[in-house]
Amino acid sequence: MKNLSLTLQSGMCHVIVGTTGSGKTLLLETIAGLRRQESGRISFGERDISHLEPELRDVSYLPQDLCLFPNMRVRENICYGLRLRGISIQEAESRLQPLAIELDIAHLLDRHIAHLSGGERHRTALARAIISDSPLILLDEPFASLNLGLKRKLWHYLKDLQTKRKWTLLLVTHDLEEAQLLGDDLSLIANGELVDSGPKSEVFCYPETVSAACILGAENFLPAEFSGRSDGFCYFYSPALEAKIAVSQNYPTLTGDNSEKSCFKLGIRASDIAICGPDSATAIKGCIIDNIFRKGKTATLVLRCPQKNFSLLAEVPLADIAAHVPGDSVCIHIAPGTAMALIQS
Amino acid sequence: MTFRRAGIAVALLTFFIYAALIASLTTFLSFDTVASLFSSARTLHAIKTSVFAATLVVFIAGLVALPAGFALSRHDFVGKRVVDTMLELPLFVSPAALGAMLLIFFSTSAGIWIQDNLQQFVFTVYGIILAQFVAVLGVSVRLCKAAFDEVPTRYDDMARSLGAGSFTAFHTVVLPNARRGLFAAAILTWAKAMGEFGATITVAGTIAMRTETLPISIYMRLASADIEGAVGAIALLIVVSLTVLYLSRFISAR
Repeated sequence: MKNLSLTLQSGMCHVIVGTTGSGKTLLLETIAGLRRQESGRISFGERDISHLEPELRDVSYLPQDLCLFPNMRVRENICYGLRLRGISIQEAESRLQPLAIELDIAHLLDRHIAHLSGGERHRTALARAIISDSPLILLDEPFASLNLGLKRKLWHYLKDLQTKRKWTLLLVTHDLEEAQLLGDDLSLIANGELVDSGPKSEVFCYPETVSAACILGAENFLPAEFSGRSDGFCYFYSPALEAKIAVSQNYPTLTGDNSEKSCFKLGIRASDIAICGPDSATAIKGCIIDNIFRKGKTATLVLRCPQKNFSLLAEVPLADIAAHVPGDSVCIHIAPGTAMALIQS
Repeated sequence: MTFRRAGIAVALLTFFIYAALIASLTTFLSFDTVASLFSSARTLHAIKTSVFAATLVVFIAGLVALPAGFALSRHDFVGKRVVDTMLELPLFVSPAALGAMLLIFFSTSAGIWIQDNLQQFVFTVYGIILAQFVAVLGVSVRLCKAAFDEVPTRYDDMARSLGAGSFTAFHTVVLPNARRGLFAAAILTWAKAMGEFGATITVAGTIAMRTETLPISIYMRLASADIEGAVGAIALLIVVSLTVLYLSRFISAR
């Protein structure tokens, strides 16, 4: 990891999203004191904890592999940290019971770890991480192997608790829905470097680089040339689409003086591309359907652009392409202001 | 024949090789021999000495092997590879040579001082314990290291991030999770100490009713052409050792 500077606000949930192998887990382990950083500083307010032993940092950590102790039962695992802090059995039990009920593990407290399912292990490990009310809680993909229903229930539960108890959470995830729901602030990491960081709404809506948009799930990136400003939009000409695309002129990368000279790529989300009729004023003509993947109420289209060596992914309502088959030519529409003006580096 | 059956057949074959050797003892073993062995104060003393020394050696070796095995398993330090290699010394140096090395040590000024001021080892029961300890220590450390290697270091990390100091993490998480491996290490150490002969006889000699363990007793009876007595002592060594080892495994499995 290099050139990484991150400030967590007390009482907020900071989410880190990044590509696989980008160093997210390494970052959490370094903060927890399980790995020594070669240089740099980690501090809690004014207190430098960079060289403290892990047990003195007062940081709770839920690792991706959970690391539940097989020699202990569920109850002992969850209360391990409390026991070390000298908290009485009654006090530990009074904290454990409501948490166990909420996480649906109250009936498992006397079971051995070996007898738990994957989801039950996850919930036990989550309980162990949050029961001690540490000033900083590090969660490494805490909901990764849970089914969607349980995952959503736990997101709400965790967010509610975090807000009420003003926990400072640093959460690593791949799941953008989880990041949007739980996060107050968001950081994006790729190849050991911080790509973007800031309030969730800004980072999600206005990624500034191709790497950031990639991490946030944008599917289409097209080279484009600046061609002018009008009506609150900056217009970019895309040779691949042989058309002009409108980007909001308030987009962060377009506000500087050199914006018109910079080299941009346009990022377009598959869900922002719609099928339209040939008469529409903003219709981009000449896209050929290469393939159609139907899924529930929507379909993903692979479109060949007018300039044949580019293809686009579009996610459209199933009804819009009911009459189409691969090989058909269609017109597409990209709503003004939905495209992202991304710096290439 | 499937691979599974072939494997089981070979496993049974190893059992029968040893079973045949044990069965052959019956050629020279009679009820009278066994009865006279059990009524002999000398034999009972040899059994007591053997079991007492081997059990004590397990505990003493454990005191050294546990921390040493843990350090070798968990930490990197200067000379770790040299220490690790040295653990094989008792395996490649013959037991008699190991005993001779001990005797030579006690002929040095440091050894003489120890014998004069601290404890007499040569030709005493303490010599048996020391010889067995030196003979089993390397294997014991190696087995403890293997047992700790089986416990992922992530457990130590996790315990520490939950607030445990390094020693608390060791005794609350690592040690309990390594217990099966450590128990196996203790059993093997005990068995090796029970059968130790070369180093023991070189350091402690063959003094009846004093430094006579069961393996030494077998040797002394063979040397005096007492075949029946030797066979009886072999049978005793086998029965005592197999009973203890089987019971330990039975208890551990429960």
